[in-house]
Parts: sequence; C-alpha cells; structure tokens
Amino acid sequence: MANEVKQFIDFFQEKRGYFFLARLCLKVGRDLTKIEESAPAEPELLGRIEKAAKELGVSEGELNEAIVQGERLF
Amino acid sequence: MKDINVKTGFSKKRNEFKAVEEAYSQIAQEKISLVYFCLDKGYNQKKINEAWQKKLPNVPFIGIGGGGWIPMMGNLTGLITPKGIQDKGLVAMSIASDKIQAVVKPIHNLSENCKEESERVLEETAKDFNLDLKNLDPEKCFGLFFYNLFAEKPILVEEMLDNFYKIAPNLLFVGEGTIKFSFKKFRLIGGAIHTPEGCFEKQDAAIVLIKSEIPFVLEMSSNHQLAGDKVFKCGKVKDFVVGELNGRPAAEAYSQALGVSVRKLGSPMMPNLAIMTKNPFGAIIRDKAFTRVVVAPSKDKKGLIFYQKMTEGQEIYLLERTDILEDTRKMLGRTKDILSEISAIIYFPCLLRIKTLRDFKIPFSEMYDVLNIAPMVGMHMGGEIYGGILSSITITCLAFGSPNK
Repeated sequence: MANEVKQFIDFFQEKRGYFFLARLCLKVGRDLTKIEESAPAEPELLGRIEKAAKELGVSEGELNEAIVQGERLF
Repeated sequence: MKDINVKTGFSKKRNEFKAVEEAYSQIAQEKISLVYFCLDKGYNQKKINEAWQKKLPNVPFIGIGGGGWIPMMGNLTGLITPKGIQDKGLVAMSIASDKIQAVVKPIHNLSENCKEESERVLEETAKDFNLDLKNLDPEKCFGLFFYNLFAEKPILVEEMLDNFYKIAPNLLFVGEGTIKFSFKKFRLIGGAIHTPEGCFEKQDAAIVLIKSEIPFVLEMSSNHQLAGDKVFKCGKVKDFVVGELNGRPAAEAYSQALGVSVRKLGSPMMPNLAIMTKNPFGAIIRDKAFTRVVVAPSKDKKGLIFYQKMTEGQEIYLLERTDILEDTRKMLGRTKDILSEISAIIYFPCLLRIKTLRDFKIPFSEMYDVLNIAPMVGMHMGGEIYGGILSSITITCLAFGSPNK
C-alpha cells in the first residue's frame, strides 16, 4: 500500500510539480514523501489522499490516470 | 538599455512627500516595469500613496506599510534597505526591463464576498494582461500577493490562495501580509497596501501578475528542522483551533513536549511568542520546513490557536530552530545555483525573525551581510506566502537573474 502511495506521489510531483505535492501533504496532514514502501497498510490514507487531491482541483480523469500509472485500483 | 536595470532608494525623512521625493530620486529611471516599496507605520499612508501616484503615473507599483512596536518584543519593523536593516523609513526598488511586464490590482469586499471577488479580480486582471490562467508557463509568469487581513479575518487568506490555485495551478505566488500593532485595540491588526488605485488599510488584498523573460526564482527558508520523530495528531479541530493532540488537550501536550507548564504558554491576549517562535509545529516536505505555528493557547487553556488553518486528523511534528544565518545562506546558495547572477532580490521575511536575531544576540548587520548579495529591498511582516502556501517565521524571496546566464 505504501508503494501505491509512493507511485501516486511520484506521478503528481512529475505532472504538477513540487507545490502541488507540498499542498497535498499539508492537506492530507502527512508528509507523504516520507512513507516507506515497507510501511504497514493504512486503509483510510488513500481515501484521504484522493479527497485532498480532488479539493486541489484534480479531476476524476487525472486521478484515474495516477491510479493506472500506480498500477492499482482505488 | 541592459536587459534589466534595478535601482534602490531609501529615505528617513518623516515628511511623506519629502520621503517619497528622496526615495524616488534614487530609483528614477526609464521604462520602469514595477516599483516595490515598504515603509514603517508612522507615516500617513494615504499621503504616501498620493505622493507615489504623482511620481509614478502609468507605472505599476505595489507597496506595504506597517510594523512597529509590539509589547514585550520591541520594534520589529526591520526594513531591508541599502543602508542596512532599519526601524524607520521608506525603502523602494524600481525594476526596468523590456522583458518584464507587471500589472497590479487590489481586491476589496473580502469580508462579504472573498471567493467571488478574488476570483473576479484574478480573472479580469489575467484577461487584461492577455494571460491564459489554465495554461501559463510557471517559468515565465508568477504572482505577488499581499493582504492586510491576517489579524482580523485570517481564514480568508487561505481561502483566496486555495481559490487562486484552483483557477491557475501554475501561477505561483509569493508575498506577505501587512501587519502592525494597535495600542488602542491592543492587538495585531492589518497594515497598509499601496497600489496605483489607492492605499488600503482594512480587509483588502492585492495581486501583481508578472510576465518575465528574465529568469527568476522563488525561494524560502524557515530555519527550522524536526525536533524529533514524534507525530502529533490533531483532533477536535475547528479552523485554526486544535482542541487535542494525540487525544490529549493540545495545550497540555504541547507544553509537555516543550518541558514547560501550560501557564508558560501565556494567554490569547498575551501569548508567549518566544516559545512559539522557537518551537512551532510543521512538516518537512522534500527538505523544506512548512511551519504550522501556534500563536496562542485558547481561552480555556486547553486548545491551541494556530496561524494556519488546520484539519481534523492532520499530523504535525515539533520543530526546532536551526542557525538562522546559515539557513539563510543556504537559501541564497540555492538561488545562486539556479540564477548564477542575481540582478535584484525582494525579501518577504517574518517579523519574528527580528525577534530571533535579538534572542540570539545576532547583530542586524550580520544578517544584512548575508542578505546583501544583490540590489535588495524588503520588510519584516507576517504570514509569508511561498508558492501560494501560507507559512510563517520564514524568509521568502523573489530573485531575478540575468538573461544571459
């Protein structure tokens, strides 16, 4: 799961840049860049990330793109 | 004409028209793209604005006024001038370049209609400026943002910034809030914002949109780092007030982490800013500390009032100060790495940095020497904006480079 968060974050940093990432981290209330791939699963975290991304203007299409890039289904 | 010409001017004269005259005589040049100025709150701001309007017809200008004495903290004005860091005076910078265009617009009626007004002004300004907000190039365009409502309607600042972000995600803003201490109200209130349309001193904001073919950098240093790995999870949150940290009354959890009694945090009217400046909360995102600063305990001394809007479940870390001079040098080092040669630099530092310098008995001249890497101007105020994100206790800057580098 942490791996999925990382892929999601990498996708958006590349596509939307550092300030989007900073906003997303502050909105989610978690330094998402620090989540290690081996971290235990947190089922509600992906939901929080998705909600925050939408609040920052990410469309369903873009969100789906990030999910597909991350090779997972929300 | 060189690709960019920058001049700075400073006056200590107390007569408003003479001060503007003196500063203007030092910054006057052909084809000015933008004038930025800062002044202490002792001036009659309306007269200052009138004087600049006469001097700069058809020239975009933006100015801020405020600062002054804060009880138990001293004079925190901190004007960054060609003559050092000063408590009083008027400092100005003119930037002239065929490759830089700027447009300045005030935003009013924020109390009643913040979202609609800020949106309308941004969209109208962009339209006049022939700027496509959805598809602009962040390497060729950015914004400055100033506001004077932090002390009274702080929630509106982040609402506006969020709104700008949704409309124009690539438009990065830097700037700061204007602030001063009112002895009559005995609290911090908004300062002045100067635009060609007038001087505004109550619940207003202003944006400056800038198109630049000259390379530029927006940077920030907070001079704080993680004090430890412990995560504090926010609970019972209402806008700026956090009721609990890790399930305990927030003030109690904070004071225990600092090793002081809750009483030491002060009161909403008289907070212990020394403690809160030293150890704010925050998060480090890719090596940059974004502070979430406690400004006071709540009335019941159980909750904490923050500078920034907080959210339920938000996780924050306790931060501690780093070397303020070294961190500022590092910020400017990063700027120089990108720009190579710096033509002009505008600083947006927090007034609490003045307090930090005093706490550590660091002479202002030492900080001045660190900052003085190019023609520069600035003023210590409150609530800095870095890339459209509201922060505090930082120094944020805008630096223009050289077109040939």
